[in-house]
Amino acid sequence: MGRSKAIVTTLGTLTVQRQGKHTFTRGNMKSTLNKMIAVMSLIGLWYTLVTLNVMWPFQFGNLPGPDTVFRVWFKLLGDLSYYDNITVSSIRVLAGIMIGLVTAVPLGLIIGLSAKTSDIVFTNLEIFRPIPLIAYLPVAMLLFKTIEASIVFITFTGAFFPILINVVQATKRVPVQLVQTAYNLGCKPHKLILRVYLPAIGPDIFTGLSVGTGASWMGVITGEMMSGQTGIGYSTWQAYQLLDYSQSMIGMFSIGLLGFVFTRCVRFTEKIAIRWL
Amino acid sequence: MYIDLVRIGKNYCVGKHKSRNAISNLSLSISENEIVTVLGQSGCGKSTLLKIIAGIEKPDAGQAYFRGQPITGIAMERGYIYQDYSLFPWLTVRQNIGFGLRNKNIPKHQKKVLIEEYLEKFGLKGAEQLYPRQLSGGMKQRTAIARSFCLKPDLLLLDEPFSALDMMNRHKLQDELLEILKGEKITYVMVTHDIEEAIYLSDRIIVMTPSPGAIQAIIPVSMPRPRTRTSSEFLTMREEIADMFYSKSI
Ligand SMILES: Nc1ncnc2c1ncn2[C@@H]1O[C@H](COP(=O)(O)OP(=O)(O)OP(=O)(O)O)[C@@H](O)[C@H]1O
Ligand SMILES: [Mg+2]
Repeated sequence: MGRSKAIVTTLGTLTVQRQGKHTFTRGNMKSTLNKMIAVMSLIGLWYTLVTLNVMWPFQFGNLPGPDTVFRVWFKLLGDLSYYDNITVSSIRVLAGIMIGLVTAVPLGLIIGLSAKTSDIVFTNLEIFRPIPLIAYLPVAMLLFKTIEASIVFITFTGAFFPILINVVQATKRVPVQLVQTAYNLGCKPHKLILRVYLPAIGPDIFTGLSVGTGASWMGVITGEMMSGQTGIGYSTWQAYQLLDYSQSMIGMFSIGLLGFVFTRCVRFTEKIAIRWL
Repeated sequence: MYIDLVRIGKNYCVGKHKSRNAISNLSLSISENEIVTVLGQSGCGKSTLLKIIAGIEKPDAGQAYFRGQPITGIAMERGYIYQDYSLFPWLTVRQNIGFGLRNKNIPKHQKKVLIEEYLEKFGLKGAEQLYPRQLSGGMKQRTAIARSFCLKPDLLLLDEPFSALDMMNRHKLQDELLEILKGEKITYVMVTHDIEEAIYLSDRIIVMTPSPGAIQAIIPVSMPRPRTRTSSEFLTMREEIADMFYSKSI
């Protein structure tokens, strides 16, 4: 309630008060139509390139057409193993994000608040930060007994650094004024974290979480492709090696869809948690 | 006395070996239940003076005392309201007002009653669920004052509380403030750069001069309340203080 939303239409920018039910404007409907046309044309283009067996500049002719892909996909929707793979990968990502969240937020707060911790801990972390996720895999395999654990380690690392960086920066930026005001209103120092710092950095936690979720998905897919025996990444790569190209493409689109759903979930949680912006 | 500032000096560090002198050798006493305004042009150290009394800034020279005790840090008994109100953006009006009450040892239902009472008193009924970004300047200011006020501080320090308001709202809120202050045992120190506001509200006006920040004059205002801004006495005093500024700056 009370949150107004700017909607850019073809007629200009309208500010629509959100009132629980949807408000349709003419521009809104037109935009949906445009988007549908865009997607349909892309699929049409794909179909044409494949049926005409175009081999230049790229070898489109090697790909299965949308008709085949969608037919196989539709059949797959009734197959339980498809959902198994999706669930396995999703759980790996979720676990990584959760562990990342509960470690990166407290650590980021401490680093942001104390220059000493920053010097000691952050310096070491900065060495690891630029390492691409997948490069951790050999070490992860050595460190953990199970493949499962090493993949979760990769998804964790993907979520950890974006959240950490955002929390550290945001903690440093919390206005001194707000902290002083809290003291002035009788807030005890040990309650300051919960009552001032944490809410103040809330939006930045979510920024880190959005980026981290993306990285985590990237990590799980590559991890599964390289070392897994389960998961949507594994099945996508496996299908390619078994020359089952429509499966491969279905895997690819499924991964995209899952990433989209996860990002949407983060956005949704953010909207509920951060109502004051 | 209630508040004593003894030969206060304050320099701010800017860069490694540079510092800016904000206040030098300033002495001042304020008695209990007095309404005092600090008047002066921009940059003369008014905010700094108030922050020293609040315990937010430490003086480099001299000592500040509250009830005979040296001021060593921020305390609940000395409420300070920032120039930009410093509301917590993630809390609603009601939660902002309740922020300090949560730190007090009083029963929960009593806190609720108190919050209601102050929402009512400060005309914030109907706005209690709004977040700071949804408030007008005047509503922000009233929320900030209510938030400090409901803790019943002995001393309330306000940094230009009316400067962001238009004239009509300013006059209205000044009257409301006097009304609220009437029944309470509270000492009230306020910074302003509006001569009229200073005369209208205060028992005493402290006029400051810039570079370095020091007291130029202390003017008692003995006009009976409620004061009229157009009475000849009022206008004469206004003229006198204005002259003080111009003679200094020319
Ligand atoms: N944090 C700071 N760091 C460095 N210099 C400062 C700082 N705060 C204030 N000063 C300097 O101290 C002097 C007095 O500042 P102060 O904020 O007390 O002025 P003021 O009288 O409140 O001005 P205004 O009416 O514009 O609010 C100014 O010259 C200012 O540049
Ligand atoms: Mg100031």
